[in-house]
Amino acid sequence: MVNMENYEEYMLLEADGELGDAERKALYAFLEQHPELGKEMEMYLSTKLVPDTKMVFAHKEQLLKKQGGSTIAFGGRWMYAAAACVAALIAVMIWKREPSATETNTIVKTEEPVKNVTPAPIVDDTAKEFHSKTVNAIAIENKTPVKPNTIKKPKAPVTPVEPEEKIAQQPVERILPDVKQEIPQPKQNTVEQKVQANEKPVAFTEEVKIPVITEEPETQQKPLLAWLPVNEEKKEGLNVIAEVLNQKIDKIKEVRNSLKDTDVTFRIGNKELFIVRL
Amino acid sequence: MELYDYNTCVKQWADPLFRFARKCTGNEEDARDVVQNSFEVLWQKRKDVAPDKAKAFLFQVAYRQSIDNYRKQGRMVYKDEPEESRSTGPAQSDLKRVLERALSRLDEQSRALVLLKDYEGYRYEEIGQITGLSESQVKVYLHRARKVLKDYLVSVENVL
Repeated sequence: MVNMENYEEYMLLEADGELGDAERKALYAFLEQHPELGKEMEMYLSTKLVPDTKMVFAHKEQLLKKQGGSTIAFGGRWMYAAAACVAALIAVMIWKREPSATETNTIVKTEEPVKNVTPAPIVDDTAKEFHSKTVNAIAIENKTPVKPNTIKKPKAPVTPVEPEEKIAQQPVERILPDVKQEIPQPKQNTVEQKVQANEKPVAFTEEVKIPVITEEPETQQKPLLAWLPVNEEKKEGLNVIAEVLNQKIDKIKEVRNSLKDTDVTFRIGNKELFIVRL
Repeated sequence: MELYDYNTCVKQWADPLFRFARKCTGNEEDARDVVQNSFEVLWQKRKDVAPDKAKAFLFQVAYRQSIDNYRKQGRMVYKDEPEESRSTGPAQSDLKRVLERALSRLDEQSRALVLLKDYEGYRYEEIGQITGLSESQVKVYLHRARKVLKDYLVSVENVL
């Protein structure tokens, strides 16, 4: 209730706009009963300041911030989106590089079963020596242990060739004619096998050397080109292309080896976002 | 707060902040400095300030800078006030002029409280958060300031 002791406080609250509807009604009802206090109410209401809207901050554009300014280049969300796109691109590049390396390895690997097929039925000691040497040499180069049992079964090593055909069709196709030629050999007599074993050390040595990638395309392109009805000039061009491709493969391998065991750190400013271990 | 929110704050609150700083400091150049510094602080703290709290943050920074500015320069001197009051009618301009003089007679804290209340329409609690005072303190200081203004108006009328 408004009375002579608290009316001034009500007037101040009204000037501040803090009175509720009920309190305001009570105040003005009191003022009606005491009209001499009306002037005082007007004076308190006159103390309320009114902002001059014509007073403005000139050249407001000086306060604005632009994207890519001196403070930051991107907003929070754009920053993380850009970093995610860069990471995805690098992951795709690395993933695409790997099949080319596996293809070259498959070329080497597909040759192993073929080579191992021929020494399988050899019984002679000398042939066994060659057999052990070649098997071990191939095993060491390709880092795969070759058991003698697998050699005695010529068909078993051949089967891995089939799934690899899907990965590298050309190398497998090049090998297949040789495989077909060599598979019936184990069925011959031991004497013939000895002869073949004696002959094959040369082949083995040659074949041992073949794992070098640069030699393989040349030796294997010939049968492929022989199949194709292509002019000799074009064959030379294809050889050149093959050489260039092998060089590219070597470069990619070098890059891949250099990227191994390295960490790629993504930073924006001084803030480290994440690390990609290759 | 993102870049877009910050620029929206500039367009929305630069003028009110300037008016507040202008009345607090009594000087247009100092008021511009206060506004620029306030927005610079907001930009630096943008990650910690929500867009809906930006206005209160700006006025809080401007209030502190105005107080510091007043303490450095001593008693302020209003400038260009008569030219501004001439834009309105004669009676109103007289009243406005008298009020400006009355406002200059207040201390910096009371003046800021009256400006926050009348210019921006803040409640007692919000003014307390900006100035670092309690709600009851704001209420008491404001009422004292209004009494001073009212008494000055009455005294001028009595003289006239």
